[in-house]
Amino acid sequence: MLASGQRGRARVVWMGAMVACVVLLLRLYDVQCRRFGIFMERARQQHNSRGRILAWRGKIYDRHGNVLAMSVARPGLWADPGMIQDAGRTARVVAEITGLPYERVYGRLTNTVRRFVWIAKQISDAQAMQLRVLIKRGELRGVMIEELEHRVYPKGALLGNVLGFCDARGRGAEGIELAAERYLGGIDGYLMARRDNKRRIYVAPEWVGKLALCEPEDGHDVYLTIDEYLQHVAERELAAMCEVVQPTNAAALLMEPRTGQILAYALWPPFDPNDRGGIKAGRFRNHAAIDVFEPGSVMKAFTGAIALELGVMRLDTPIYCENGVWEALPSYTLHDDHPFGTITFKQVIQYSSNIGAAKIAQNFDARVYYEYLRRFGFGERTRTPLLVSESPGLLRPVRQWTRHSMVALPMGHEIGVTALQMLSAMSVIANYGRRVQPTLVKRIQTAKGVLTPEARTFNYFEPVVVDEAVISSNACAQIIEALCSVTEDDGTGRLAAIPGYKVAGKTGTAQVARGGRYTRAYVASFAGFVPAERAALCGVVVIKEPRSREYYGGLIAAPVFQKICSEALQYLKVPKEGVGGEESTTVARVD
Amino acid sequence: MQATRWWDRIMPELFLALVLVLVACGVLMTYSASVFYAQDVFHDRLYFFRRELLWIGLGLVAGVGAWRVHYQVVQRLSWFLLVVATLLLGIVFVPGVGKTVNHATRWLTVGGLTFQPSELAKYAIIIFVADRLARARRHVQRFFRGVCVPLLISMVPVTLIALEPDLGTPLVIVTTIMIMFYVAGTKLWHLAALVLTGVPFVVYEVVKSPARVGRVLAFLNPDADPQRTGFQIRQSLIAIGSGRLKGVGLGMSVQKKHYLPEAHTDFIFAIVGEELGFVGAAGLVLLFMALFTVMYRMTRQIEDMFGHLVVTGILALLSLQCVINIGVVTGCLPTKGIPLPFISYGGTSMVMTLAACGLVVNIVTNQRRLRHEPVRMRGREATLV
Repeated sequence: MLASGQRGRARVVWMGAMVACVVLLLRLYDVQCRRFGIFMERARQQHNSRGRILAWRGKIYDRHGNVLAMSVARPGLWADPGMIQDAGRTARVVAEITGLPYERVYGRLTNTVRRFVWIAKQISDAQAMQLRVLIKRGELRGVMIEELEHRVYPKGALLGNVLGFCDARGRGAEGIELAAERYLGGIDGYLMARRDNKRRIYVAPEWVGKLALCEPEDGHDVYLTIDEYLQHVAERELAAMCEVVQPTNAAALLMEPRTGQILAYALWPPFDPNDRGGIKAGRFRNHAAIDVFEPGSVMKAFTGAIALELGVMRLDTPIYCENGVWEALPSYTLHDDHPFGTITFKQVIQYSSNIGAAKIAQNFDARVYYEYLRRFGFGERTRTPLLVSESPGLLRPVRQWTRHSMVALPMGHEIGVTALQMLSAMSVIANYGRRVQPTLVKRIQTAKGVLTPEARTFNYFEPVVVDEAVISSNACAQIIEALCSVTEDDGTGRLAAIPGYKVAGKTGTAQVARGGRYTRAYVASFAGFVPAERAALCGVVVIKEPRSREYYGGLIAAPVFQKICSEALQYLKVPKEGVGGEESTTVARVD
Repeated sequence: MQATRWWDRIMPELFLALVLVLVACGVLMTYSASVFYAQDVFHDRLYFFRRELLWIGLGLVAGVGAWRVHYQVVQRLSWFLLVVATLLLGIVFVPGVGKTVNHATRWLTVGGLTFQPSELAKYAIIIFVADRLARARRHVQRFFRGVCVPLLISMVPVTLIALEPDLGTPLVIVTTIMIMFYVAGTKLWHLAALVLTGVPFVVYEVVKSPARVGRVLAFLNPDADPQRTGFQIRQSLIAIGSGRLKGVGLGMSVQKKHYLPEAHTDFIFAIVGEELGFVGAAGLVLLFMALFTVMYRMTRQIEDMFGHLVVTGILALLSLQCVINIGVVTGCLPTKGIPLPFISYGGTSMVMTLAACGLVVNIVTNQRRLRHEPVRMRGREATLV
């Protein structure tokens, strides 16, 4: 017999079970039919792996196809802390082979949050071989080796400041590597796969033959206009001078004026992108395009050219140079290094008289002067492709000029230029008035050697002419004659003279202004071209704040120009003048 | 005496059919959930599948055995069963005999097969308590003779289980005992007093173990520490949720590939949810509901108090395990290692559950035999009415 109410109470038990089951059903409905989104998303995150297939980064070549930057595969070491069984032993073995400190390896291996930690991004092939053996034997569970792309610069420090370098992820971080990222970078491919919780990849069956694989597209190769040999020569000669005069930095640029192609871009101090450990950020700056300085007397060449163009001066116009001291304005006195009496316009350029240059500029209007300076390219970027953060220089608009301006500007004060701007402006004279945009890019092609459509925007086929005639060819011919006298026997730039060639150029020595006052630091410069009448090369040498006793542009910058150009003329097989007469002079094709 | 309808007559057959269907589901899901684990650990995809089949064979033998022996024999053996179960639980603690997995000593190894005495103890305690209550039915409403004495005796094996350590199984057993007391007619305030005295023990047991505190905290906030304490429940919900309505397909689960720990044992329901979706998971819950309903319908045919209490006890035990397991897997309850009856891989559990099912059928059919004899005699007795 059953106790009283036993059946009723059994019914309650059954009802309780039913209610609990209904609650579970509701919960299942909630999780599986209503809120499944968040769980699907979590599942997708941990199951699906979009394995990246890295695209190879493009190479950087010089104009003749010599490799300046390329990528190689290097083994890297990483670990999945979730799979490590004996962190102490594993860390000891890894530390012993790689030579890393044990504590650091152990710390990485015992990371509880991540399932991917780097142990060493680069290990040697020998280390990788030893580790691979141990991994294959199953003695280093959770430790894995992966081939990583690593950027190398086979020519070392050659062009290093301009080439820049890549960051740890292999993307351009500085210089051309950064500026040409969209060409060099390529498009990574991917492999959609699923992985189990032991990180083993398997292709999900429903994806076979669908979107599982996307091939990577390798980066384009960039050919620069730089000539490796001329670059080497420029760097060598610049360094030789810099060793002696110990400047803060220096630049020597060499360009083919007709096309605007930059052949050499030497910067000092040198920088080797292969080994940038411990180097301060300022060291790999492309200071020839970024740093602004007052050009000093080099400016007289352009002032003179404008005066000749306006017709207010002829080469033989006499100018009284006040015997070296002239109070141009009240409380503004100009000095010449050597006192001159009355000399010709040509001699003002030749001897680089400040008073003469200021007096030349008295003959024209500030607005006209400003317009011409702008057309020479001062105060605006040269827009040279593949240069990052180029400076526009400093040329104030006329309404901000003071009464000092028309005295200071003609001799190269109150204006800031970059070495690149100076090169571009000097090539205008060398080109008889035609201004061509400087360029570093010769061509860009895909990894298969096909020219890319974007590459056509560069002046690969034709130089980009910015201004057809800044000044007339007649005025140019006259100023070239004056500039040639600079490198003659009693000119300031006589050390730039190259036997067998007529060299046109202008020296410059400017005091460095700091905090509104001129200091005893100088910028020595020389800008010129050779052969003077049919220029094959246009060059600029800028040496900033030399610590030597000599600081004149004619003494330290001009010899560098002379050495680089004399070797470059031979290398380019530019025929000597005077031997076979004017007619035989031809401009050698650089490429 | 209650009127028996035609469907009540086929209840034992229906019960057996449901059990076999559930066992079949269990075999299928155990294989599906364990195949990767078996391949990686034992290099044999069928490792768990074969063992499961072996255990089911043993379970069917045990079930038929429990069916054929008259249940009153079982009733007479209740003390013996309890003593055997208690001894086995004690042997677990003998060093070298007991097998320790995950810091818990719960298994005995016999000839390559592992045996979990606590599974036997569950049913031994049900039979013992049912026997005590049936014999002392006049004292059921008295606190000491009716409640405390059987409870204290059955606490001996329960304590041994708790020392393994295992908190889930004792909780399930004690709750089952309470339900049996309730069904037997114990006064509600007696039970309430017992529950209130039991709560501090449970709280103490939870608090003294950082792992259990962690599980409770993880239950309250599963995303706080996804790599450690909240890991299982998080992975389990990911499995169930990504199954959606129709599931990813039988055998296609990704979570079983080492994401979800214990995928073929305590968390097998999550794999059901992932592979078969809401349709499969809810279907399984409905199967269990049908099983419990059939068991409840069968208790209505039982006249004998011992039999009634045993079947109700088994019903309570199975439904508790089922609800707790699915509750844990769906994140409704804190993580507890309770297997899902019939479905989870687990040898002793399967054998004992099938034996218990045999006992249920035994009790019900024997009741029917008692009742059917008068029915057959009805022709003669009709004149007497």
